[in-house]
Amino acid sequence: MADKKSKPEAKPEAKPEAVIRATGLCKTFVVGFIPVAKLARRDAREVRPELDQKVLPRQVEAVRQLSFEVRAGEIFGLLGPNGSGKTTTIKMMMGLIFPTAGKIELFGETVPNVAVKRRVGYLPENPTFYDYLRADEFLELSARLCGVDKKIRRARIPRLLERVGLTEALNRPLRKFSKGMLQRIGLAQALIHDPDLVVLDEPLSGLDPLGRKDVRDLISELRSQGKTVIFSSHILSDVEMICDRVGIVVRGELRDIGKLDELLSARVTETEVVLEETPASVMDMAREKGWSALQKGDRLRIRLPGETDPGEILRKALDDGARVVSVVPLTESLEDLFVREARKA
Amino acid sequence: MDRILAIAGNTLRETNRNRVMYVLLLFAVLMILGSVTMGKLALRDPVILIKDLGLAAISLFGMIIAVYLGVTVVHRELEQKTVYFIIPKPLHRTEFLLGKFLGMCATLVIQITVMSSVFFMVLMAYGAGASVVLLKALVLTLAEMLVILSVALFLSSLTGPILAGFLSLALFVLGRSSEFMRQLATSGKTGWSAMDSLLNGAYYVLPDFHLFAVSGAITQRVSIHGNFFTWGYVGYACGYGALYITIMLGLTMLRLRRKDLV
Ligand SMILES: Nc1ncnc2c1ncn2[C@@H]1O[C@H](COP(=O)(O)OP(=O)(O)OP(=O)(O)O)[C@@H](O)[C@H]1O
Ligand SMILES: [Mg+2]
Repeated sequence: MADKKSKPEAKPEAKPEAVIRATGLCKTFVVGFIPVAKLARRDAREVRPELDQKVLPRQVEAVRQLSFEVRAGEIFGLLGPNGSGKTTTIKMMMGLIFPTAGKIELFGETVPNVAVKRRVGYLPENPTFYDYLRADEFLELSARLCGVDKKIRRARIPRLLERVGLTEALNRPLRKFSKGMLQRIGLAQALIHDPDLVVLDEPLSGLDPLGRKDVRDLISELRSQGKTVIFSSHILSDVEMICDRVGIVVRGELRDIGKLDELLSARVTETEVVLEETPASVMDMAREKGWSALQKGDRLRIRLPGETDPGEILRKALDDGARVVSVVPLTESLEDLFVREARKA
Repeated sequence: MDRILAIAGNTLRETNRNRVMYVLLLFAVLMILGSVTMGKLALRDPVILIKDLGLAAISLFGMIIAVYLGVTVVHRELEQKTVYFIIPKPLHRTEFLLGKFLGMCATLVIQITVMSSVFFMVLMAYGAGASVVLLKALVLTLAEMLVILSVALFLSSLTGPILAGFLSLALFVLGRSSEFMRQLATSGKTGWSAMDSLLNGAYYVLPDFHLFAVSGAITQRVSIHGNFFTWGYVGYACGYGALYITIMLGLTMLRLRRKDLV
């Protein structure tokens, strides 16, 4: 959807520079009121330890010492369980909140910086927009705020609306939009000024399977235009499909970062054997060995841990008259990695 | 500049959809119309009473609308998370604030225009019509509204909308009594020099809304019935207002500049 004509190969920075660079990024939220202990101390000019414990300001360390880089042209996935600090990181990136320590740079400039913002598109998490505006008016406003030329605006808005599948809702006020439609118009406004970096906070949430595919395709399309994309998500299969690199954040700390195939160990974690018309004897053997066996319909799924040789159970099954449907060695999935990291204390 | 105008336009659009504004406007119109009945009962010239009451109604409801806008409009933007949309756009937070302020100013101009139109129609029914002195009075009223708006906006950057609203109203009342405070301070009637300096300080720090008070013969300095109510005076008052607004916006900006928009 980018205007290739209006912006002829506007990518002088073809070298893989760091588009995003976070160094020692920290954010601590103070929740609760003024620390009463401090006040008491100032008034009474004495330390009262019994107060100290009670009223220390409650703090939430949302992001701790986060350092990472995203290079030009990459699709970077920010993964992590709920409340792990993804949104907080992204908000710091967008200059909405300020780091307690450390810094974050986009295109080599510390944020917030207006020149940098001109090159960045952002989709907030669970977006809410001015609900009295119609879809086209809203994009018009977005474009004006981004300083997009009137002529370009007129061409780009219908094209973007079509790209996100909202052409039919053009005249509807955003108040009447469904959750998925809001997500789509949110994507459109993030792309209205043809940004070099696109920051998406959970772009896939609230979308139906078709919508998710659309958005995945859109993100891949952005990559083919040479854009850099960073997005957060819980939907691991989607991440697996489109990301070049991922970072896993747990409790505000970066646990893992790298290419997916580097992060996931190639080691076989399990072998799944699927059988049909299985006699009880095979089931007994599985139980004896302590392998998980799950009967579903007339199919039995047996999971052999690690690199256990499936030969033994296969022989037994064939001898006793069962039919072998499949034998699949399973390597670690992103889900396994995610769960492993999230569970680590 | 276009960005500021875009934000202002959007703000105007939002306030124009606000039902509260229409309710307040309705009350103002009712009060202006009500002045006619009062005029009939009055012993004095009914036109004088209608002028006084009408201007008072415009000033009162203008003030309420200004406070309401000042404490709710930006707050709503934070509350409904539309700032997440607007702040990451290529603009400074200053531009955002100026755009919002400009939009609210435009809203106030429209509101005052509507109220004045009703007011003038009533006067015309009495064969009095619009006059330059009334225009001056309305200009002063508008200037006063804008000052209150900036005060309410600043206070709402410090605290929640309800408290900020009450504080703004309190400041309005205090500001209207500025003349009284100054006189009290210089007369030495308090018999307590600390009190005098406090009053004097308050006179300089608080917005001097007395400058803009025009209606009624009760005010000593200006009155639409007086003859010393010159354009020069209006200019002076507007200049004072502009300075005060600039300071208020500057302070609001200081608060907003590094604020976490969570
Ligand atoms: N304004 C705030 N005040 C206090 N604590 C906050 C604030 N915003 C976030 N937090 C806390 O910071 C932590 C990280 O929150 P954040 O929204 O960044 O998580 P997330 O990774 O985006 O989660 P999710 O996947 O659910 O969106 C949470 O513990 C949250 O409670
Ligand atoms: Mg989040």
